[in-house]
Amino acid sequence: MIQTEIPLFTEQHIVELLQKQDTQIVSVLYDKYAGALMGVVKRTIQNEALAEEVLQDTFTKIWRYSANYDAAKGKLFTWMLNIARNTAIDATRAKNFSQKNHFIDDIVNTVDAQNQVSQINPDGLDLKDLANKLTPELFAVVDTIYFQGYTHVEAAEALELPLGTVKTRLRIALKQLRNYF
Amino acid sequence: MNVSDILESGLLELYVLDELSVTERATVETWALQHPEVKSELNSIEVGLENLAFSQALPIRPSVKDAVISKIQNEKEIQNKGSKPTQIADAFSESQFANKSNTLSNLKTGIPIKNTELANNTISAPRRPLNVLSWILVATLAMSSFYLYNELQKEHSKSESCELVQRQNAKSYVETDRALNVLRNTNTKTVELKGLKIAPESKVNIYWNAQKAETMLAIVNLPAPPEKMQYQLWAIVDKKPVSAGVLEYSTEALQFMKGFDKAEAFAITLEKQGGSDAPTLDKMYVLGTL
Repeated sequence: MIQTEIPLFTEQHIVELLQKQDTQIVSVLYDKYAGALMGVVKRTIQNEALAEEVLQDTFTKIWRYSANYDAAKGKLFTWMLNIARNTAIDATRAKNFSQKNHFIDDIVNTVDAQNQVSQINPDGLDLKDLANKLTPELFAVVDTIYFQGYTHVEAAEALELPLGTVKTRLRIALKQLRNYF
Repeated sequence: MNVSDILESGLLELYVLDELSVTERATVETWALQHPEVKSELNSIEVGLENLAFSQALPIRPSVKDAVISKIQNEKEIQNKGSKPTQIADAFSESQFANKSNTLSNLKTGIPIKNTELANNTISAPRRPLNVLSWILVATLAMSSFYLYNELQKEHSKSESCELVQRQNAKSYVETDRALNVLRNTNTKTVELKGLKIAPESKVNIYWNAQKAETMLAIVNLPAPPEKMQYQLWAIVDKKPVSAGVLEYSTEALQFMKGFDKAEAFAITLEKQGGSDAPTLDKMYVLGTL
């Protein structure tokens, strides 16, 4: 694919070709979104090789289930993001967290990590900046749900917060972050 | 709920992150249709998350791209050789339609869906006796797998066909297991959708489990859809039609559709490819009420 062609593809074009199962679009799709999706995957999976495998699976699923994407219900990236998050979570649980006890360990680790915001930055380029833009309470909620892929119910348990507080903080945090982009 | 309560509820963010139950999801979708402010707020949230993700983008080794492209090309070749892409999504969240549980205990307790992992497994004996319908399903799948295996042996070179059979078996295993769980469950109801004026001979069965919010569909008889058209299943919930997804046109397989925890009726209409937001009522083929 010639680099200069890439900007010509709008989201709508990409969706159309993807749903027609035109393999030509894969390269465009990948160039446009792989880095951002990798950023999401790497928050859940630090191991490079496993993260690469999850990214591959994510793209295969995007391809395979493209007919399920409904533009009326949201943006293409949102749909892909959720596939990436879920694939990453599945991979983590299949490998390490097949038993609930391990899962609880994981939550404990997460809580530890939340208390040391500065240390949870293995790869994220601007994650520190991001953390600095939010109060630690707000950042913890965004990090747990958005990056580490916990459901809001799990996040509430992990952070020992009422469900309503988690929802409110997520809302406030995402709203504040909007102003920075 | 007034609009500002909706915007402040936090539910819209969770909707975008695919975190809501089927019912909550439907509620948000109804709000989005009723209030332009909700629709535009959802869009702002999505744009915000997209920007957030792009700000955190990471470099990837170039070989990964090649691997992705070759994987997808393989998949395409396999599709072209007649193996149907399955409509049955991996157990969770392959789509915005997917029914996702929010409780810790239910989380991802499903079988891991990676084909490669499953391909080597043998099917273990069921723990409980199966009912008749389940046995029929097992037998049908076994026969179709065997038939497929034979057909494939004839048509393709050995290595290609082995790969295909492996994939097919892995899929069958996952599908069968999930389908059996629905059929076995005493709370599962069979809803017969009967042909309407447009095609009176038509018949489709829905196997619906409200407790587990699982909806499965079997086409018994339905005319082939015209080109560029697709059948779409609708659940009537609180007197309003809610899409349960488009159908793969196949009389051989059971298909999982979007799950519902309540519904008053199910109906199938013919729609443009990919489905519509609202049913085309004069193209309703079958209907079954509860």
